[in-house]
Amino acid sequence: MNKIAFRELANSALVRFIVGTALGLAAIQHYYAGPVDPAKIALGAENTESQESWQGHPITGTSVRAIRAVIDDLAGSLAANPQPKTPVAIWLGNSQLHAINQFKHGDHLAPYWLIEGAVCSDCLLPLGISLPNANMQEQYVLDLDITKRVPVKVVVIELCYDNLREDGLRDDFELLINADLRADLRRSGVGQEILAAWDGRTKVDPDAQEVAGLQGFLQRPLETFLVTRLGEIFPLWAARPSLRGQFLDDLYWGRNWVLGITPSTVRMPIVSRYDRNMRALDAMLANLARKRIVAIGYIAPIRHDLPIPYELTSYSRWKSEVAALAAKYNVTLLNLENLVPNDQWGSYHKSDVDFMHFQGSGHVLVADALRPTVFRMLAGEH
Amino acid sequence: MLFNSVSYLAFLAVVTAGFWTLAPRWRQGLLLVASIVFYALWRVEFVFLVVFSAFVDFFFSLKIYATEHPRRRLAYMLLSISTNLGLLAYFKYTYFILGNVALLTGFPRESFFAAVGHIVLPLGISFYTFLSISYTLDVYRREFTPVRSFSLYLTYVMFWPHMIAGPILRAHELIPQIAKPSRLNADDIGSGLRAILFGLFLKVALADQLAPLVDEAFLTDAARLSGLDVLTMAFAFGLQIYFDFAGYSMIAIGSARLVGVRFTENFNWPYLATSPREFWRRWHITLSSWIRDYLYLPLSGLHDRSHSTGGIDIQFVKSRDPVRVTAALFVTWFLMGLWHGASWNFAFWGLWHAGFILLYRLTNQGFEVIPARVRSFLGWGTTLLGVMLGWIFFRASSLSTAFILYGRLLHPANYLYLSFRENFYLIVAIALLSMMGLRWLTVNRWLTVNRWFAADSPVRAVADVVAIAAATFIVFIFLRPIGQFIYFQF
Repeated sequence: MNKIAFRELANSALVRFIVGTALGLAAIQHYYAGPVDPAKIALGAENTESQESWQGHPITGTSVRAIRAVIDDLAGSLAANPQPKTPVAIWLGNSQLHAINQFKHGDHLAPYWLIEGAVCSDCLLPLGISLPNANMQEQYVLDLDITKRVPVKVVVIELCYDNLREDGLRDDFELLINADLRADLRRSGVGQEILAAWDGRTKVDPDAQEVAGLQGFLQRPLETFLVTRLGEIFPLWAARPSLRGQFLDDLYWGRNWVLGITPSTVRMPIVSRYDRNMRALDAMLANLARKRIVAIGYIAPIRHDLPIPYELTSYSRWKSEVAALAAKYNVTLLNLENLVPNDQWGSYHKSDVDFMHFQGSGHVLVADALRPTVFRMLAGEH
Repeated sequence: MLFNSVSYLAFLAVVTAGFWTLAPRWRQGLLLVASIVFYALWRVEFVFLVVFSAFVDFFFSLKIYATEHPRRRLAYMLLSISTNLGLLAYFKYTYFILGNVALLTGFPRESFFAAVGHIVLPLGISFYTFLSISYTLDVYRREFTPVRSFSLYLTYVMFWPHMIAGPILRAHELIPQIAKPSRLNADDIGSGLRAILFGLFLKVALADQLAPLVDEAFLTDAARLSGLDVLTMAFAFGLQIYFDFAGYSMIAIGSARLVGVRFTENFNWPYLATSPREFWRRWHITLSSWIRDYLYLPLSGLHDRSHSTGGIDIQFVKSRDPVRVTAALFVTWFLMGLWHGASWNFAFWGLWHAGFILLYRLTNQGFEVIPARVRSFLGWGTTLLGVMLGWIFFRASSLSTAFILYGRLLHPANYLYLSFRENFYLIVAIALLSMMGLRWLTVNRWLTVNRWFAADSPVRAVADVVAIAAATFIVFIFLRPIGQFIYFQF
């Protein structure tokens, strides 16, 4: 082929398109590293999400659906046995409550150790109610829902400064938001804000999120059919959710690398979210006080072998605000931030240090630290 | 049908293959059938509405053409246009009108709304109404000879690449291309596919990724936001709507190109404009050109023209009747705003732009003492800020929320805190820096003068291939119809 003909060919829009597309598809094939577990990405590579049960009943839930199942199971048991001897405690938290770093055989979550270490096998039923990055607004809504449906005696609240950067309710709260819960939320200013944000968001059927834009279109079943068929004949197409996870994770690390963000980089509080979450905590404690349910709060443990990623003045101010709220509602507040020794956290990697999830032994320590207070409160010594 | 879907790509492949396989005399029929299927895959029943509306215009246009009697011509033209506007008013503005009547009379809105029942806004009605109106008016002005074939006219109105959200092309630009299809051309196919790919990239990789951040920001209690938050929200939405609509237009242009039809461009780097006037020559060019020809120029008493390029680029002349020209400006923009959506937010958005353009007209000459480069940079910054701030009216959930948001910008104390995750500000900052970089390249004509980037240079070819590969990579991963195009709601 002479030089001019080659140049004409290279300049043809169609040839460029074909070559570019082929390169793009080859790059995807090369890039794909296998299935990605989104929960693993969110929790960190060393962590294992765990579930606990006691005497055949689930006692932990890590999604709204699972939490609903735990409460339904308990409500069913209580309906079958209307005079329960066992007092119910709910333990509200984030992934610290359901993840175990470097999981080893025999490890359990803190709610399990709380019940296991009790003086009698049926004198406490603690339910671990935790969502990844759960903010106080979500904990408030969960608290309103659960205390309405089962006779709760004690609520243990994990107070984690990191989660005050989160906002609003995740989509699967759809399972909980009903007329009763709406009426409860309308009683507080922050409840009204939570509802307004919830109602204002684009409502999507969680099972149809991939085709959400086709709501009301006759095209929707055709799209679902084609996407499914394409996945069956073209494995890389079926792997697209994993590819998206992998790509977004790489983007996250790329951002950190470019901007020099390390695990210890200080994350500033986000004022409006912080404010809304603290008002949600206030509303939750007010609700518990009104229902005469004992509340115990604790400042979540954090590792201290590296500078913590909080702005220390704001962090101290937050702890003071939490203490003031605890005093206002006569809530017992424990500070467990230094409870778990540095060697019981995750491995140290320069680019990835986990400040949130400790090893199985940490769960034992947290349960041990809370047990005396919980039982003292159950015995009516508050 | 939504463009950002696998089913659309399958539809496009089938139609394109069929189009070039069929004998030329069948091709227009295929385009009509494909366009009807495309629209029916939203809702079948509304196809009849479009056909009815098109038939009215087709019928009266022939009547207009057939008579020389001025009054009859006027009557036919008014009948045609009032049918179009009547349908638009019913489907799009009934709730808005009743809501305002309720507000004025003190009756509850709900009772008015219950009386009219649930009205579904037909997809693309604002766009195909404008197509029809321009057709009738062009025939009335004797600028276009009406077609004798209803099927050809219906294909013009329903031609799927432009029916739902433009570009708004005039009859003389599109009908001849549909009536006499061009020959199969590899460059058309390549350019069409490239435009579709980059359009999908803008939609699925940029607009759809920005959408949740913007939605969340605009759901936040406005009274608690900082000035920086509001600025970031305005810029973020400005970027989202640009990526969304420019992406849509590119897919439309590319789709038409696959069947040998060439559309005019609808966007030309609008955020690089150095004045509000220039912005409207670069943003939604076919709409602003339509508004220019059928609203602004007639209202101003200036000469009319008829083509879908150039946008609103009328230089401010010392008119003999400056009051009329200024009034025309505000009326035009008020209606332009309401065309976008049936709420006062959109009307105020239009008036914001009218005010911005008027300010530019009044002050422009005074800045000529400033060196050209500095003036250009200041003009760019001011235009960008003005346009972005205008988007607040467009996106805020209500007029009162929009005013609260503007209020947050006014107090210095409101600039001392941030309300969203850092990524939100970071994305907007990167976009702003990219715009500055792009502006620098264009001002210095780096891309046009540099021989490395000449159209036939190897560097350009390699850059093009790499860009296509990158876009393929991203579109493959992210292509999902998780959101509609913003302009579908209009």
